[in-house]
Amino acid sequence: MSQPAEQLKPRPIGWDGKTLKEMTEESARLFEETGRYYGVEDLTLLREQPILYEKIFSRLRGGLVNARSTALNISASPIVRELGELSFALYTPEGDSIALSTGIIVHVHTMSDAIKYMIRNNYEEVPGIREGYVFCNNNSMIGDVHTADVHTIIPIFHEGELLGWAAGVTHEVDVGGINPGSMCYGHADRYGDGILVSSELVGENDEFYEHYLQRCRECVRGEMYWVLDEKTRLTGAQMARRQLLRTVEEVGVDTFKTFMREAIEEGRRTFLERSKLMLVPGRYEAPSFTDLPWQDDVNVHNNARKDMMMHAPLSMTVKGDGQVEMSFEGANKWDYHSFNCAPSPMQGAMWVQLTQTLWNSDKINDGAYFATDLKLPYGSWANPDWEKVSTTLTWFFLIPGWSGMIRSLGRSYFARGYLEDISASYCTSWNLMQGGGPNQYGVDGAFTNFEVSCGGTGALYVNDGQTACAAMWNPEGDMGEVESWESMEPLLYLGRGVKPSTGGPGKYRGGTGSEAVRMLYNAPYQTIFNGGEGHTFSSYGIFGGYPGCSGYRHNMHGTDMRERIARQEELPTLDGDPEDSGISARCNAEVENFDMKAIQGPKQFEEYDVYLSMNRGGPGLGDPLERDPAAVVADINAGEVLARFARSLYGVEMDRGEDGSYVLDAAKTEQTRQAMRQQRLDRAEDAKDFFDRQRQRVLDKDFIKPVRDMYKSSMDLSAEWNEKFREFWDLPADWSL
Amino acid sequence: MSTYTIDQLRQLKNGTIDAYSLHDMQSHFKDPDRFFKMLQVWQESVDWDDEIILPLAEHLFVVRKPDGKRIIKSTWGHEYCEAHENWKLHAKVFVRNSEAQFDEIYPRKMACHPDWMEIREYYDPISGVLLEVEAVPPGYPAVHDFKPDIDTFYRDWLGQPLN
Amino acid sequence: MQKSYIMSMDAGGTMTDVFFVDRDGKFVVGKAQTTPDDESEGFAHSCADALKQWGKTPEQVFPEVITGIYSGTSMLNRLLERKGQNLGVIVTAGQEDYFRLERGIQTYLGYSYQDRLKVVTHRHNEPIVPRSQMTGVRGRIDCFGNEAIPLYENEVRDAVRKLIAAKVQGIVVNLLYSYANSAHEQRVREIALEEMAEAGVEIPTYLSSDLYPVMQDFARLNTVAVEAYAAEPSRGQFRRIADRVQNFGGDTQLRVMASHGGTISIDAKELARTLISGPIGGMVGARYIADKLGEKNIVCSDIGGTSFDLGLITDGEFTMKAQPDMARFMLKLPLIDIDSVGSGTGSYARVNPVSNRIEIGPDSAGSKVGMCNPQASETVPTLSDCNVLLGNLNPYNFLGGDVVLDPDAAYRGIKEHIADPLGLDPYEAAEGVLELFEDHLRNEVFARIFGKGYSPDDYILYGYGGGGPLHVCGYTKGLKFSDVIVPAWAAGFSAFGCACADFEYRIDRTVNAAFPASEIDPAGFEAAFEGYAKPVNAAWAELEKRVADEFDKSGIDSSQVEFKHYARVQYVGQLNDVEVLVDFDRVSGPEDMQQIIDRFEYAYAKAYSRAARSPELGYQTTNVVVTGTVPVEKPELPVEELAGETPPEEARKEGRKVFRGGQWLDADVFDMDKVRPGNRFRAVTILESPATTLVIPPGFEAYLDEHRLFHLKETK
Repeated sequence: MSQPAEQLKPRPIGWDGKTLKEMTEESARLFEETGRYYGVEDLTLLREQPILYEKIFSRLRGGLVNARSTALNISASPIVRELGELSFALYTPEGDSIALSTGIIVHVHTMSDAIKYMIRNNYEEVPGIREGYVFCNNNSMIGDVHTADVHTIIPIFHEGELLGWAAGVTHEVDVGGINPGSMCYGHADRYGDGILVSSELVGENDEFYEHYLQRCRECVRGEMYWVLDEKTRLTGAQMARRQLLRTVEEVGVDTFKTFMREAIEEGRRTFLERSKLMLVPGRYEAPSFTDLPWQDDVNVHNNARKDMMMHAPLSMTVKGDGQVEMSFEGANKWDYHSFNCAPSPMQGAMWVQLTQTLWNSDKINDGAYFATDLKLPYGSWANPDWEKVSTTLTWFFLIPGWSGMIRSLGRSYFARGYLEDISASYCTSWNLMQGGGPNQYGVDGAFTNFEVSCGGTGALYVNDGQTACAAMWNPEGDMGEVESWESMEPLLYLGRGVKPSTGGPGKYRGGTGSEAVRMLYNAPYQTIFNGGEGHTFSSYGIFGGYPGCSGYRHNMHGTDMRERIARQEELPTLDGDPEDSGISARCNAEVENFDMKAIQGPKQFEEYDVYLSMNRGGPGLGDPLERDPAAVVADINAGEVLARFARSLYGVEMDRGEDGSYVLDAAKTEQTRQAMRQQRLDRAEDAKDFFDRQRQRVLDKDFIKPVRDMYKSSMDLSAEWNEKFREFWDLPADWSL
Repeated sequence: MSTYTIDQLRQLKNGTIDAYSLHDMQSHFKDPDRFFKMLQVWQESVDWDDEIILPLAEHLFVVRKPDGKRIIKSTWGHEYCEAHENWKLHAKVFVRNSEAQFDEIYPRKMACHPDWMEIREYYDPISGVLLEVEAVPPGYPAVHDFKPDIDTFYRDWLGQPLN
Repeated sequence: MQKSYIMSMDAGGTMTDVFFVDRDGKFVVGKAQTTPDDESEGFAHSCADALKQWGKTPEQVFPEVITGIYSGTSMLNRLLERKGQNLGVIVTAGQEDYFRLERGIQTYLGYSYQDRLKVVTHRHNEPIVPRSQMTGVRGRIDCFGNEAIPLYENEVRDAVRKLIAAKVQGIVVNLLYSYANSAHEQRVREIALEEMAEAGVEIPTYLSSDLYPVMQDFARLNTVAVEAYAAEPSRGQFRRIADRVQNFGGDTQLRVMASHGGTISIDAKELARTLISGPIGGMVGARYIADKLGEKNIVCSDIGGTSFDLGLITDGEFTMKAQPDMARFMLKLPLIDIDSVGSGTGSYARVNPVSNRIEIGPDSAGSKVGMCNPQASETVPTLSDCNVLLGNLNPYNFLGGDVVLDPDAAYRGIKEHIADPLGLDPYEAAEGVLELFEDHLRNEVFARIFGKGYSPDDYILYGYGGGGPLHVCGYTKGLKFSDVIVPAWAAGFSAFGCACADFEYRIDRTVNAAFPASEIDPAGFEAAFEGYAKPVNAAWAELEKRVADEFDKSGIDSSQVEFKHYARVQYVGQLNDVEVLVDFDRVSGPEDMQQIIDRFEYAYAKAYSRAARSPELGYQTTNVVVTGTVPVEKPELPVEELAGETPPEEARKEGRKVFRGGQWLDADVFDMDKVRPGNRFRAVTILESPATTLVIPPGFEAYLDEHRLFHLKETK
């Protein structure tokens, strides 16, 4: 019989009578003091019972993987079902991940942040954390990538004690933003982002509150997708919980607790060992940039109607103990667009890159978090100091922002001799085609086309990159099928194919991108976005390789397609070479948007309007003049590269064979390449001379506004970067922007 | 424990390795003796005698001169600067900042715009080979790609300090 | 009584097995080198090798053979080695790059999880049709099957002419949404025929709407292209084998094992489905035995050298995968759902030098066995090495003694690569590795059953294949199956299974017809009848006819055919459909629709949690299916009289010590072929046959029943 007084304050649910808050603080303190997770010094279980240790791990992981593959089938969303945008993970009471399923690994730590938020804010008392409770979160400032990614988090109890958490995440087709599509933008701040659930209690007794589901239905487009995905995540999380409890039954709760902590400490140590095996200590710089040409875009909010440039001065420092520090010191300020990133997604992005490279393992867990360090200047786009910023398309800055990490790792691999793992980095995942409106079924729909998950991959040290293959956020990229997309989007594919000269040139070429030409059909109108960099390159080559292509916009409004079809005239299938555009040649329009403004606010399209969606190619590696001439000719005959670049770029001389295909003139090519190397030196100058001249331009502040704004913002936010900039250019004290 | 012969590593460096062996190399545990074996492969690939102590980038090596100085040196023998400095500041550079110049490399509209970004090409002064490409806004400081901590590396990670 | 034999063959990459079974279930297995150029040679040798065990010749036996079944890997190899026909393809204009873009998933199909994450390992497949022979024609059908853009016939003519000039051996036609409206594809064929007549050539055309009228254009193209590229040329192989059979005096029709679990004639229209037949035989065999013994729910587990294959039979039915992958192609074929969920006996065991943790696989020594094999030069220990070291495997009994394994080599390998790094004793290390392996399999087995909404005591588990009996106790321990069975002929079980297959055709077609839930919208439910029944009934009628046509080729009248009708159902908008067998052949009223709902909800609720039920969305029938079966002769289950519980002395072999639970135990060893029905075996007992070993560890006992099936039971 408990006393009334005790009933007011529930008994702590943590271990040994502690509250979760106390446990979390203790964990932090012990790490602070010892540098080891929970102060774990000796990995007793792993050392004394390696078999049991492995058994427990494979149980938990097996459970997560199976949970995922079963739950997958509940979802209706092709994003979840066919593109696998779904994953599950298990956490300690403090919210540190022990193991995770396959899927979108970017979220392992974001869900961790969401749990820690609940603990920090004392959910243990209000609303309480009890068996069968269901929590939901999609607030990136708390812990998430962006609003479209929704978490379901459930506590796991064992004899009244919180043993840990199971959580799952999916990417939604629509989140009820001010415009359709899962990642709409053009609005100024969070108020347009859509439904927001902030680590909220949304169910008990292992079921959702009906009023919660009803609220969601009322807030989002394509409500069916949302509701089924809620069920998907809850079902999977429950399966993972069941598996964890089965394991506890077999090995005993104390052994299991020991395992949880050792697993993370072991993960931390393994990470350091890996880094010592494959990297070289030192400092690596790899900045990147992206343009936001919104000066004249009437479809975006007034506050955002200006040209902007994102600055991501990524530096990687590998320390003596193997610790890897990523710093964005110098990043410029957040702004009134939807591409701001909270720390959580930045952390997630680092994860997803690590699992594809340095820590390529199914055994990754939060140990990596304790072995890495991420510096995100407060107030920058990567760590906004105003919690009402919009973050619907965080990825737009995040993807280019991290591209340098892969190149920096590549430099380390090169120095260590692991040439087989070097990549020039990934391409950006654009064009992002999304939107919605009254669709072919006569209902208000929303769509996000995930063909972007198949960009060209970066060149390797020993091979060209792959054509249409993967995305930085999902190595298991997949374009899906035309018939699948068309059954959701009221736009016909007039064509989907390889886009020539998109891969970054080099000794080894970046993988080629693709493009799709779409025609609005069977619907009165749709709101559609263009999304991608246009005036800048956002992912760069290495060792003399060039960046992969940047994008452009090519849309036709008010076309003559209907008449052309009736007259059986030629129709566009692909755009191909923009200097000889397939669309312009085969389609007339009242308005033709054909420019470098690759990212624009929501635009209305009407039936028979034509839309180009081009996916990027990967960056290149090495000097193009060192490329095997035969490979260049093969590329041109295969349509990977446009013929006019054979000489200007690769110094390759060709003749036409009788069948029209090109054949190599090896001897002439050698002469041409000799001449080109000499010509390079003739037109080049000493770097010192160039930078002296460039200094004058800096003194004169002779830049377009977005560039000037970017420098100013970075220098205002970061004394360190300010100092670096002034020092490099040797600027007088009175110089300022 | 994986380990590879000098000849296999030579093939890797030359890009003549077959697809299956490559995939194995990418998938299997890393061979801890790789560093020193690759040093051999690199050393035999250059005509000069200075001792390579760290491959820095394609065609660029940190060598140890007889006087103990650590110098960044190219395949063709050009000596740029000391290991901790940015070799780019001692190279030849050509900067593309007009659409006409971009047209040699990318289709129009598929390159950056010169007002927003320029392409800096760093060449080896002897061979004219392109060593690195920078794509940055005008006025951006030269990027220092890699500043290795050679002493920590040899002393603490390889367990054999460089004297 | 009149003897009659059933013959089944399996032409593998290296060896061709032939299996003869007589009326009493007595059987022989023959082996011979596979002869890729003309498989019928290897077949003939293998037949002779098998029958000499009965002191007979093929000429003596084949006149009494009533059924002959082929399964083999020649088709698969032709695909893998890209040695198929020279094809031309006609697709919707703008889609000519199908095989260059593929789908991202085809760049990592079949990879380990690590490699799937590691983008630098991803590779596109070499196209089976050169880009220059991929032609596009304008014209569009939309997702509702309506014409959005009329077919540009002039472009069709150009395309056909171009392909004729390229001297293609076949023309594949795959236009968008042709399954919903085949008019454009039909027209393409007409024009192609005109053009061929014009050019005086005859080139077979393969229409996707004709062969595989199912949704998803790329996987559909893959399937039709594979049909034309790799399957068509196999007919020649089949015919040559059929000729051999005739030359031996046989008059039986050769049939081929197909992915849906039935056998089809070598003249069948859709041969591509015989591409995947390897692991299916065992499941067919298990279902056959289970059916004879009146068992409904079966777990089939098969451990080979490289993988652990797991498949479920629930309520007497296989689960069907509608989009399997094979040889790194996404295909649209009905395939019995079998998962490769783990490593095989040849999988490597290592300690990760960085984390100091044990890792098993994913790569494997396969047929090279391991370091204990003196004829291989393996440098990393495998699970077989562990088994040899611990006494589970008899070094002198491997492949019936053809290869003598070396336990000392296994010891050295395990010590160096596993025990020393972990600071363990080599024997403990080896046992630990096997425990880990069996524990993983155990979890997978449980997860599969659990995923179906059942628990192990609803199931009987069959363990077979070379490695199944060796580990079956380990991966069933504690799961409380209602029975665990190892057939005494475990190693030849696939071949046996093929002989048990029905003569059965199965054809799928996409219809996409829906109706609301009766419980939510009764009126709408009633009203939907017309619109639903029409397409579904029409499709069923069409499929019945196509099945009948196939049987007709074998001279079988449709009156002899037993038809079954299925609908693949999902909640509207959901992407995962569930196959529902109905007990009517036409939807003749709302009550039939209600049966579809009930059976779907039953299956769905079992597979996913209650919370996932979503009747408010309504029910969509994506595909309909018709299967047609005619009874064929199958092997009898052997029935032998029961002997006493004690195994006969002549079956006893020299005992040996096995390492279990950290200590050496004495094990009785018997010859599996000599033990008698009725015999009981207590731990520790090992039963050996040339190709497999059954281990009965502490905590288990076994009983051999009159059908020569071992029943394994936990004693505590």
